[in-house]
Amino acid sequence: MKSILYILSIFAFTCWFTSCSQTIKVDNKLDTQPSITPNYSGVTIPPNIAPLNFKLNEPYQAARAVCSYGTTHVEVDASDNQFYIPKDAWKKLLNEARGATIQITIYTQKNDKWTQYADFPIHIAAENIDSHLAYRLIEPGYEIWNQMGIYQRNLETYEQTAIYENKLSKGNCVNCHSFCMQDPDQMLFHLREGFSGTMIMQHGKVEKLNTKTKETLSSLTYPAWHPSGKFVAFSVNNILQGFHTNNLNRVEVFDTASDVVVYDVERHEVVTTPLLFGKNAFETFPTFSPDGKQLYFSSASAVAMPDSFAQVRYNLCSIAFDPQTRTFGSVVDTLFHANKAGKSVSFPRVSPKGDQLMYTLSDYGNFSIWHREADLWMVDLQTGAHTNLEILNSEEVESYHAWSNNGRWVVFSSRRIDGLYTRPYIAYIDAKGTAHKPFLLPQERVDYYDRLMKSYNIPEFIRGEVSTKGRVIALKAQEKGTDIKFVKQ
Amino acid sequence: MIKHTKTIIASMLYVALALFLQLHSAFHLFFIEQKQLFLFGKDACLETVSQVGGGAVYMAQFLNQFFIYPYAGAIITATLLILIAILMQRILEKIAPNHPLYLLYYLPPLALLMMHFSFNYFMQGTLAFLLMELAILGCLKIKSLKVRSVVLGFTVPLLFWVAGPISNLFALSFWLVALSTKQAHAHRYLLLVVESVLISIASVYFAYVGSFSLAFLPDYYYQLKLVPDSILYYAWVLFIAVILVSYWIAKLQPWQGKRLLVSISIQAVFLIILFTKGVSIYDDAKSYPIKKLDYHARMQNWDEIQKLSQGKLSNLLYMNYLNLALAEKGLLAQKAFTYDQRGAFALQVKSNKTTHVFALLSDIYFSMGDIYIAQQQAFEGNQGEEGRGNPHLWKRLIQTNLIIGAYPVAEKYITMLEKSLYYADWATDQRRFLYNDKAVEADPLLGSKRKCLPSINNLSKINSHAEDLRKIAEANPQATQAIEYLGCQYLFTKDLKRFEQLVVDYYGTPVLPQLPQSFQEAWIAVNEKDPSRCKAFGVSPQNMGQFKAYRSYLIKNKSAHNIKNLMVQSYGHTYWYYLMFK
Repeated sequence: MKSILYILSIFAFTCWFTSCSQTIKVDNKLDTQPSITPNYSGVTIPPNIAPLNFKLNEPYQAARAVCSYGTTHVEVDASDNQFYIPKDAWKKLLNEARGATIQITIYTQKNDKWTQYADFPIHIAAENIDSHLAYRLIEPGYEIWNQMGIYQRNLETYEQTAIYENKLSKGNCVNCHSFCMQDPDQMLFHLREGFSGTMIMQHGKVEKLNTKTKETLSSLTYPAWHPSGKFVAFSVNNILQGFHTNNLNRVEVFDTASDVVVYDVERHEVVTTPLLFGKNAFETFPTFSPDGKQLYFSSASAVAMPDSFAQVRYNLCSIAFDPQTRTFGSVVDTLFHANKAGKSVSFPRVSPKGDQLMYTLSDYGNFSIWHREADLWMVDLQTGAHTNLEILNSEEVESYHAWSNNGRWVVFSSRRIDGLYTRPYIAYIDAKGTAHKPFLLPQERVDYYDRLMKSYNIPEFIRGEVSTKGRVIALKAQEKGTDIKFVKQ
Repeated sequence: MIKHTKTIIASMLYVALALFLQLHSAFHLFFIEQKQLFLFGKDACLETVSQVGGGAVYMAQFLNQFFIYPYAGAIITATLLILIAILMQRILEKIAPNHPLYLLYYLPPLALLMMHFSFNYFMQGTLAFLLMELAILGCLKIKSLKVRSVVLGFTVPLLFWVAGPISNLFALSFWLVALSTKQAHAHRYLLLVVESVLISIASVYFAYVGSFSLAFLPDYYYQLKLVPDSILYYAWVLFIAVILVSYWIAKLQPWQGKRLLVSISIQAVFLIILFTKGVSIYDDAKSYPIKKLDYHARMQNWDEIQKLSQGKLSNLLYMNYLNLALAEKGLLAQKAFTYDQRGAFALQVKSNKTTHVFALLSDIYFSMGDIYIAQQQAFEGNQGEEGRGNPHLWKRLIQTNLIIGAYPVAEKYITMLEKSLYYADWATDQRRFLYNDKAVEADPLLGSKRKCLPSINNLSKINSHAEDLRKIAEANPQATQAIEYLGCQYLFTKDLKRFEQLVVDYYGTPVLPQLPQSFQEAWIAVNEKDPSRCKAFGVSPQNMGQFKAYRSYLIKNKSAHNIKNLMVQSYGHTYWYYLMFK
């Protein structure tokens, strides 16, 4: 026993002695920043984010990263071809640098000579981010799937746990998860192809709904909670797919018909208005304003599909909603005639303060996840000014997005890494509504995304962990479920 | 003597089983290889072993990768099964040391062998069985009761984590073995069963495992979405049964002399009967020719496929492979009707959404030059496989992404496939095309397929696939597969009107500079009353003459009751025969 302790203490001492305590004699100083992956240079991050581990995109014998703010330094030597930033030191550094900027200095050793690169900054916002991110992991496929699930990632660590995996229900499809105002205790998602239904969880109570009615086109599809938690707006869609013969977008997902309805959680009823339920228009992607009095959605004039797949363009619209009476306004406002600009709006999402609305703009159609030209835009709901969020956009798809509870962070999915697999990026939106350079959701292992053969689908912030157990949901899923009713207004 | 006999029998059975598997199931084993992809490296290992039963999965995938090499699948499978029998023997010898129970040793592996004939069964089930036997024997070797109890206590959860629900069988059988061998405090081992049950329940409760059937039964080693045949449970049931039977036999007088000989002979006869009966029931002989064709298609042994397609073809999938082989050799429109063909689905079956059919359709679309659809089919097919997908489809995904210029995606897949054993060199070789349009365009295969991409994008089959094939043919007239598939599609469905339009549109252009044999025959049939039109479209005088002879022969025998048989002898290889009699 004594000898084991002796060996362990020698080992510990050796580790300590050979760690970052060695000083580096710089032989060469460059005025260029190093090339790193992910590119975290100049990004703005929340003070409660997990360490932004990264790697250098060039060969070296040895490398060191020094993260500095004031007199606080965190030194990290490269190991396993990347920098693993120690969690506690990182947390301390970010807390000290809240609202300021940290500098990262990189040293590399090649041919026994050390080179120092120009520092690169990382800005630390003053405001925290919600503690968790929920998303579905699924291959970017078409009709066939295998393992999939809805997961939650603790943003302050790297821990990912399953909310629900389809192995619990014979490998069926699990989709369209949605939370009420980032509340992990109010959630829903759909199960398709076996144990079909909509699973709705509120404060520990799990319910299964059978959401197809004879009046609606389909089962309830794309959801958005009312801030009260008493309603959920849904689209009902007849969705088809077509495959391109020569286009890197690969697939076109389109509706041949669609409407918007509002589901009353307490009464198990859906209500709508002819203004959202007509044959002359395709309405989809509903979302409520934070005060719950306005319902935003995308709407296009109905055209013959799929022949006119490249001509269908969705405008950004809204209609008043009275939660007390479950009634709608008598007029649909068109906030943005995107079709006139030869563009199409999808995924409108209002900021928690209700002053801004972020949306995806593509050339046509509504399923912008498969549109390489799709970019994120913001409209100021007071002034009506539209801004291309260029700093968030790339040559590849930027699409689904969600706000944090404090309205200072947005998460969006982008295919910028390889053009196919969507990855979550997080961006800071300052008080003026300006977007800052986004950062890729950090992972402990930098090559995680290279190895992952699944896409991040529907990233949504949540303020804590979903506590309802997957098994509880699975058991409920096996029940018959409650039929919902369509109520004519 | 008995010891030697056991060794000799085991060796003989091993050789016999390996030979049987090689001779009887070689292509099934090649087919199985495609079902699981093994990747070297720490990440892939951790990813697999971190799952319940992941250790067995990892070992199974590791062994499975060698199945691509001839004989390896047979040798590995036979080795596993004989090892299971040998370990079974060791366990039973502890219960009935004086009775050679050959039948009983081989019953569980025999049941497992039957499962190996199903491509929906995962080899990890067999490896889990082996690990369980090793665990039983290992624990029995521990003399100290305390140490054994501690080790057993840890073995149950460890086995559950490494090998899955086999831990339940382990717990139950160890308890029975302990009782049968009159171990001290044997009844206490019932606690193992309780422990095992609790672990299985907890695994479901905490959602590590999807359902109780998966947590307790061998269902875990079978395709999740399918309902397994009852044979899946036989090995487990037999394992318990043979322990009980051997306990009963142990009480009998030891067999010697003639009695021993009779006993061994009876057991051998039973074993042979069970084996023969089992193979006749559970061997998926019906799908074997498909597996053969699948292998040859993957290896691009087109001549072999042609050879296998002689005579009457009873399955549309056979015809698909044949026509793919002909298309790849540029002979589809030339020779299609020299083989047994039936309808449009002979060219391209409807998808049944299985990986195998997706793979076949992907190959067919790739041959046609319909690259995006080939990719889509490959992607969908890959989704259908458990684990890391299907190597053939990964290759197709790499090729199609290189062709369309989606280099980062191709690179991602190449990097992954480079971690495999058999496909690594091929994958590395593809790196030369990454971000290098010139290299892609200069490559005979990729360059030709890139040329097939139509100049104007559309949604595939938005009107009909015919339109897509026309565009492909126009984009790359040198690649004849699109126009040949399209023409044959019309001929197979006897849609001579559209065929005529196709010929009118393209004859004499680079797309169809001359009419291949079957097109000439069809053209003669279309223009039977206008021979000058045949001449104008380059129909050879020989074909014209043969058609005349065909007509005369037909008229001569028109009242014969066996006219179809008469015609097939001389004209079964012509489109005229197909048109009239099929």
